[in-house]
Amino acid sequence: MRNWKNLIQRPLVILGIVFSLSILNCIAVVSAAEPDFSKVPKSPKPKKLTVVLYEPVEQKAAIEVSKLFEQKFGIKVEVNAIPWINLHEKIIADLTARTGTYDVIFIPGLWALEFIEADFIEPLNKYWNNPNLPKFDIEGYPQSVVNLLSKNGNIYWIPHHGTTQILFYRKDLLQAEGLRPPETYDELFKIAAKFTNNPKYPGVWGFGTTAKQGEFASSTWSTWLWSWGGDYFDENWNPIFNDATGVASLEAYAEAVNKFAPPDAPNWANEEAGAAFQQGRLAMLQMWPYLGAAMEDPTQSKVVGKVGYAPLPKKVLRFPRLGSWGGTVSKFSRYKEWAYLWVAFYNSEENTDNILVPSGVAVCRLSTAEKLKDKILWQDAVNKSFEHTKERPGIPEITPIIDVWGLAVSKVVTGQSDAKSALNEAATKIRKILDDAGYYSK
Amino acid sequence: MTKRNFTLNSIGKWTVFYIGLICAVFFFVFPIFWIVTTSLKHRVDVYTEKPVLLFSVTWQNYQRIFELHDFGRYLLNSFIVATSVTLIIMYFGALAAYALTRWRIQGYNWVSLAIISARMFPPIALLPSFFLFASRIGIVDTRRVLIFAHATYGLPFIVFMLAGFFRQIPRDLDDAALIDGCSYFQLFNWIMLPSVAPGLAATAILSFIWSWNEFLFALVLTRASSKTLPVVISEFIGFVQVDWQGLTAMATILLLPSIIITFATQKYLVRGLTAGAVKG
Amino acid sequence: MGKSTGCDVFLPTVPGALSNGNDVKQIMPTIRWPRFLSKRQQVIKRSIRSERLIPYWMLAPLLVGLAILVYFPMIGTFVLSFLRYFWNKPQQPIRWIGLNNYIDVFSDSLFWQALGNTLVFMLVSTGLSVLIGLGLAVMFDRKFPGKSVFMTLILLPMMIAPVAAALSWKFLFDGQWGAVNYFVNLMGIPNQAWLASPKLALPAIMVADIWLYAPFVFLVMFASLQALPQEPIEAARIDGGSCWQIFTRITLPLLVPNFLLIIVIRLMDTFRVFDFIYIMTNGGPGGKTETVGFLSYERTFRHFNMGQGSVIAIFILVVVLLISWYFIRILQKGLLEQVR
Repeated sequence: MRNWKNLIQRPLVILGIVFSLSILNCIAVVSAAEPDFSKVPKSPKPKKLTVVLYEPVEQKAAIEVSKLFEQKFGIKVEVNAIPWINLHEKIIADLTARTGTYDVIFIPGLWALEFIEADFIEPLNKYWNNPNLPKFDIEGYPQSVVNLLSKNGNIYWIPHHGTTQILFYRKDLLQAEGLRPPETYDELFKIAAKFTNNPKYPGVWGFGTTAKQGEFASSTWSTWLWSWGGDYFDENWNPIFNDATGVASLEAYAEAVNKFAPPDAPNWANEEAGAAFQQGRLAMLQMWPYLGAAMEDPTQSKVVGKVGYAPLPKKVLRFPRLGSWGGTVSKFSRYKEWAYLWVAFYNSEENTDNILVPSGVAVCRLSTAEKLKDKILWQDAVNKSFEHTKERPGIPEITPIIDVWGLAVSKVVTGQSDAKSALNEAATKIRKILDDAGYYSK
Repeated sequence: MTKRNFTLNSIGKWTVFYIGLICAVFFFVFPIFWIVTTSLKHRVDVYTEKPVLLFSVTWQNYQRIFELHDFGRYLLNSFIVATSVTLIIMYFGALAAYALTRWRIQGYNWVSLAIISARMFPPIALLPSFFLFASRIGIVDTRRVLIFAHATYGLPFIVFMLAGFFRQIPRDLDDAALIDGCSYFQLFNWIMLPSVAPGLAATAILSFIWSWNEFLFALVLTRASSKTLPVVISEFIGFVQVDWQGLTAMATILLLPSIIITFATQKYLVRGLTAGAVKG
Repeated sequence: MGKSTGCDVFLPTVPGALSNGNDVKQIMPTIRWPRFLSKRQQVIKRSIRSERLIPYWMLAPLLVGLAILVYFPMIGTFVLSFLRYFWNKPQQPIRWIGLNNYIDVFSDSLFWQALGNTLVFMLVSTGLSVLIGLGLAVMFDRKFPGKSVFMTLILLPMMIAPVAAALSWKFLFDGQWGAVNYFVNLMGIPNQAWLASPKLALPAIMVADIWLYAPFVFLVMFASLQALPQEPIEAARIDGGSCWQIFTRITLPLLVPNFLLIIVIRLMDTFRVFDFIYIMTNGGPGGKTETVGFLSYERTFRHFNMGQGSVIAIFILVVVLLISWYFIRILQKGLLEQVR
């Protein structure tokens, strides 16, 4: 080839080479993002792995993936689904007793520091940085969600599930009145007022949300608090949710529930609120997106095809609450590397796309979320909501604190107390909890 | 044995009587009726404003239950636990009741107080410590631990019920048997137990139904392999939705044995509670 | 002979009536052995000594079981109430903090609210279920067509799993789909949001509790009525007493000990009520259905605060023991009067 120097000077050839190189590069990047499952741990194979999670949705996906896992690696996987209300206590009971019953544990972002500080779970970056194990690319997940369980440079989970609350609304009703979904809370109030007690729409209420005492009330009020620009604590853990902004947000929340929601909304958990919307009783609903599947299911929903999904409105900001679940490896598992393998396998792109999504898991894996934007009706709203979203602080003391918030919100919503005194009382109680736990004596 | 402490002499009084009775029956029966009918409904029909009597019946909820992963095992667990508990309570309860009524026991007061007060302790207070203990010795999630917990917790009530029965049996019977050369073991098993048969029957019914339906101990002490049906019911409460049709179907299945047993042995139940026994 | 011990009253008896050896005094056999025993009697006497141990063996399984399940955990709980112990924070050392937990619990306004709710619940629920049970028992104390069918129907709530019952009542009380609203509508009352209303939530739970336990009260009272000895009543009737006189002077006093017993049991159980709150309202709205039993569970199993949860559990235990001790006293007095 005497003429090869001439050859490479031809622009087309150069272009061709560059092109092929870049394609190769892309392929390389894509396959680097996918874990290489040909690498298996060298430690002894377990007879079976045990996974614990909550609720049918996750269970379906986990069972499906486990079947594939068994085919591929020859290990049986037992999936334990525990009802959500009992999940926390059951898992803690087993971890405290160090029984090692569970190898893989699905936890929500809310329990982050509780589990990390109690040394219940393994840092996963230890495993994916291990050259003998499949590497998992955590970059494919939104930072805000991954960071919930990061501490001191260690990442403790792979969050397969991350989503924010969004607004469900009745497309047909709003269109009939010539309205768009609300961009601000003021608009929300106007639209809700229009549909409540309107003789043209009998039996319809303007707005609904879950206001049941405890976790539910606290969960939905969080969105309002943050959207008003307030927050729960400052950097020194002083409660600031009882300042003017906080009080205003709670008053608005209570007003919305009292004026625009059916009278039994103060006892609503997800099931009742969802059912109300499903049966056509609500014009708008603040709810988790995964209820969307139930809305579009003709065997149970009366509003199939009439539902629109929008991000929640903003006051100062748009700041819906983040809900997240992820897989972790128990510190007392006897087969930690294999447990990690299961978690990585569960979250592989292929499984995420083909199994998790159809089962109804609200995936937050960026690539999948992009792909689903057009296929799932509410994905767009969720993607937009990720701009500003966070979860309440995942400290170990969060559960009693949530109950204090939940009690305060419930009192205000049912008119037993005004917002200011309820929040002040809550602040005093929470201050005591944090004080006892040593947050103020650093 | 019905007596007439009050006689109703007029049609008017009988009418009032029956109206009151029917109201009471309606109040007690309606929720059960709701449970059974909901188990036969499609999900759409569950959320209706008026209780409807006509709806399209579907058996798919029951089908779903039977196809439930491991349903057979849970059913077996419930059954094994309930029958074992019943047998244990019957035998050891009678044993303890016999002991209490036939001998002067040192510290009799304390023993009685101890047994009664066991019934009073809130289970919630016991569970954390007991759970930790059970997990340390590795018997959590076995049927044994649940049988133990149920039997122990249910015994005090039964002991006092059967004590009344034993007291009614004249001591001459004991003495006659002993003099004839029976050992205590034989005396108890072959003579005493059959004598309190009605009491044992009532015991069996109450214990079985209680253990079959028990939830709190089962929730805390079982995991996947020894789970019982009441715990499975609670799992129909999802985070996002409650599977009412599935739940009520399971509740109906759970209800059937209890109904059958009670209906078949109603007479014994009353007689059992009557004959000098549980006046409480 | 045979000192009448306070605990005897818990051993069921047919109070004071003609009986076949049910008398309280006859529980303990007294054995006097004259010196001139026959051979047979000597044999018996020898075996009496080892016989002494037999009742203890018979009671052993029960007592050992109770020790493991109840007594030791109870002591454990008592000790725990003095510790700062969060079982979701094993990294935090368990410390003895004396009465601090007690102070924290008793200075929490939620605790007092819960206590108030519990007392109301206890009194109303027990009262109504006793009234209903008594009324039904009296009604059933006669022959009438369909009696056994009606009886089985009324006993149905006893057979259902309490979990399922609580869930059903939750749905029945739903503001939008609940059948309860349907029926009150028929009576002209508008739809209520039962479980979300500060005023109606606790009454709604009381209804569910009464529904579940009144049949048991009925059963026990009915059995007592059946066991009433006839002779005194017949005698009184012959002597010309009116129905009302017979009822109040003869029937009631004979029934009182047993009734008191079932009342005590119901009082204790309602004081500890937990399942319904857990499933139906979670303590809301605004703490209106918080009860001490639920609070104890919440503190121990949700907040993982072993110390405070144990304090409340001990508190429940003390109250329950006091109630029953009080009633034991009453029963004991009543029984002594009877025997006289």
